[in-house]
Amino acid sequence: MKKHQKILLRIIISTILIVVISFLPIKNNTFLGLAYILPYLIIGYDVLIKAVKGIVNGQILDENFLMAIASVGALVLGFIWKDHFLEAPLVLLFYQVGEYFQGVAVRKSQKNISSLMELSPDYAYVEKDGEIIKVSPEEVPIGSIMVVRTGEKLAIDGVVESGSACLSTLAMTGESEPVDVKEGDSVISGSVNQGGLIKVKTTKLYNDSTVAKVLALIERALSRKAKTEKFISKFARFYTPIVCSLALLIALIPTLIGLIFSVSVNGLDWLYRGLSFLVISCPCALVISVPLTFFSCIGGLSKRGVLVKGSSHIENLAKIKTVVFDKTGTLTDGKIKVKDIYFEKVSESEFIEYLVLLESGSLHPLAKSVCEKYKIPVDFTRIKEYNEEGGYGITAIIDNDTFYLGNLHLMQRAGIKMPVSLSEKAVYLGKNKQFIGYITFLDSVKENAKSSLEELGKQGVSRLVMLTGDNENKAKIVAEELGLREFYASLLPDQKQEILSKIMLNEGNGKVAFVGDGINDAPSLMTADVGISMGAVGSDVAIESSSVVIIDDDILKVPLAVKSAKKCMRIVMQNVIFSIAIKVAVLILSALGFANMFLAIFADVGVMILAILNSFRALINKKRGKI
Amino acid sequence: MEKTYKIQVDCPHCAEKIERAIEKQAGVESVSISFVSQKMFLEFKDAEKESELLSSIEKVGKKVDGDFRVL
Repeated sequence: MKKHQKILLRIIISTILIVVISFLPIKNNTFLGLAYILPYLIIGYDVLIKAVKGIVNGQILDENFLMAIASVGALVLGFIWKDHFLEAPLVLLFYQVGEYFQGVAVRKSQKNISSLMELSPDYAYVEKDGEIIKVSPEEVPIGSIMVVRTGEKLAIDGVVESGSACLSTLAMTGESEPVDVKEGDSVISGSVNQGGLIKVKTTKLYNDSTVAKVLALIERALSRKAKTEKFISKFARFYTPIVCSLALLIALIPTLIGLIFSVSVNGLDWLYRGLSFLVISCPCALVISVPLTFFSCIGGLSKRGVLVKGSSHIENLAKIKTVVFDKTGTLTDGKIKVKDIYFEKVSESEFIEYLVLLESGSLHPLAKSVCEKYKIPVDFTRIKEYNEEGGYGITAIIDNDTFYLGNLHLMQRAGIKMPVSLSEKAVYLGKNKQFIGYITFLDSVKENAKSSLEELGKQGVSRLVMLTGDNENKAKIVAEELGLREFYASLLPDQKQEILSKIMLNEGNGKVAFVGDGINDAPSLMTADVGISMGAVGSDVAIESSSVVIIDDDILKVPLAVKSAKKCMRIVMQNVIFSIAIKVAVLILSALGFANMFLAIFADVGVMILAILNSFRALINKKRGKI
Repeated sequence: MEKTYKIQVDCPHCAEKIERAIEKQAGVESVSISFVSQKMFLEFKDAEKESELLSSIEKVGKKVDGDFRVL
């Protein structure tokens, strides 16, 4: 029988015994007391044994010892004064109920983490000399061919060598939509093959793969304790001695005063009040619920693909007032692609030919993306009088026709009538005085970037800043599109860090977060109060330097992390205030003689159970709106 | 040398006390015990004396909580 099942059994048996005895028609006080000793020993024998061991080891303020003193005291008072028998087994009964609940809480929270641990596959199927063998993931060298069938997990990061499959990254990134992968796609470990057969060429060792890193990260998270946790341990260090000294004073002082001034004082009653103090001398509710809340929050976030490296970072996340973004890789995906072309009065091949002729000479990012898309051979001798103007576009003569390729300003200046007006980013093409078509581009701004910024605003982030190595003009376009007022352009990585430091100096009490892709902004990630790296879980530098790692590149996870951290801190505060308030109230009531030992233990264990239950709320990230 | 150990510790309050006791052990650079995850994160100087250190840690831990164990 497992330890917790044993406790539960003892709780049930002693409860039944206590109920039965209380209904037995025992008139004699001594017999009644002796009868209660049976459930008392059943429920509390281990507490008594531990108490004795504690004294031997010099642990006077051991909770077992204090519980033993209180309950034995109640029994003795029962025999020599008045009926306190019932309280002895009840105190230990509730104490054990509390212990049992602590165990439940620990097991439950470990389960949450172990569901993550299940990510870690126990083996991999690897092709060797034309045969497929089963090996442990640690033994697979880089460049091996791994075969992944339907229902299997990927053990190691790699690139699909052949075949195709539908992969779910739910467990790793929290993304519920499965993705189709084919030859040439890179795949991360921890993904589950939901259908298909792929051969994956491994690009990393198991220990450097996403799964292994994520697990290592979470394991370590709890060792970085939050300030609140440290405060609670300090509080706990003083709480028990203070309450115990108070207990001693209450039990002895009135009797001493009575003796000195020869007034009649009921010393036994004061002794009883003192014993009641001992019952609430354990700061358990606080000591367990605060770390548990952080743990739940970290666990809940990791299920959504957000890894927080320690409880201390949760605290900082909750206080964020400024978020500084590195543009590329976070707000934008860094790629501009041709989305669509439209043409009239010319054929498609002619239109594309004109485009390539005109754009080939330009270094503009839009031009580059056009040339990347349409790789056709063209005869550059056809083009004359090529002229490119910043802010307008390109003018040139091809085969004696004048062509204009650029934005609306250029078209206006050339006197070309536009039959369309597009709201998206587009480049127009005019031939002589006629409009002949346009190209639209896939916006480089990430789909969720704008809503992410709005959500951050809702979470109390009042200042949003964008930093970028791109030029002013490009930065401005993105900033305007996102509604960002503050941005700094043309920065080198070390300049980014400088600006970040300046922002932090002006920040006062609020915390500053830096969001980057983790590849070249490690210095900034380390400088910020909270460094958040995105989509770079494979990179050691990113993991080392950031406090929060977002596994995929979903920017909405940034406000999600802040929201969840705030909720976590609210729960922590509720638990701290609630537990201390109830303890103080019970202490006062028992000092005044209004509360008996039964009420004291009931309140103490009750507070702990409520605080534990409250802690578990930090696990839940209910989706409201976008996050 | 930094390592994570699975441990058994029975009460959150004892975890705190054990942590403080282990901190005082010779060779220990830093230690953090999590009751919730039942883990001990230990940083120590001499990798060769690991088993020695662990047994002395278990000893001081047992003084605080008889059920303390490094698994």
